Amino acid sequence: MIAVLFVSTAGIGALGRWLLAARWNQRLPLGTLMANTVASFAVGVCNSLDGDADILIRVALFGSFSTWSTLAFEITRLARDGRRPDALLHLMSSLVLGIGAAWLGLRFVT
Amino acid sequence: MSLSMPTTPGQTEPVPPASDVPALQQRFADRWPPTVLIAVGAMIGASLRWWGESATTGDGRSVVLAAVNLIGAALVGWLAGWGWEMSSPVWSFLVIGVAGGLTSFSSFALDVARRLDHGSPGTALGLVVFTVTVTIIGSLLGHRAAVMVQADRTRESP
Repeated sequence: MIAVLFVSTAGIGALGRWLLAARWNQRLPLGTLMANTVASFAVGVCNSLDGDADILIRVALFGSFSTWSTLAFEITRLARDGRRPDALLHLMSSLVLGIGAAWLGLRFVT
Repeated sequence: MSLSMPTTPGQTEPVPPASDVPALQQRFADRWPPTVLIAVGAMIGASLRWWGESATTGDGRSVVLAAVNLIGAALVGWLAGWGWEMSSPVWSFLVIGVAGGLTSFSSFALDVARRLDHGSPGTALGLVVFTVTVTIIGSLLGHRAAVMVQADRTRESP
């Protein structure tokens, strides 16, 4: 049962990321930034979960909603296109907002 | 002379010849919409990440997470270097689905935030620098490798 729920929530997370990217990835990949930031805050809030709830929410749903592979691709593509300031901006904003959101999520619960 | 494409028994739609790759891709895309490809790909990728995470504990999880993030970044770099278009079914399945489900920014961010919260800023900074470095280098190397392999294949073909 947990396996079925796991793959279902993972699929839902990835589709949510895809929809955000389709809507907001314009000159800068804001959709990916939004997905990563929202997911980071959510897993921070859900930090105290364990067992099946942790697997379903942190690993499956928000793990699939966020992405490192696309972020790395977007950064390297921006750099290859000669837009190094945008690449650096994308990397730094992703790190600051993502880690900051996760930390706020942790604090939000405690 | 008939210009219609061949059909197979039980099929009403014409089947494009095997050499007609764009038409075959279109048929594939029509049959398997991006939503299905992305969802199935993410199921596979996330399951692999879960399997890796569940096999380790403590700092080992951070290493596994960095490793899957590196593999996913290299895979996407390879596919981009190979020339797959972002609108293609392969991109939907492997990049948005499998690699997107395999890698996780939120787990990385939570890992760093926990270390900051536990008063280990040095370890947190080290994890950030390490993960950023390996994923960016992985993406670049994947891209470069695909471009080089394609160039070799082009040179070898008559």
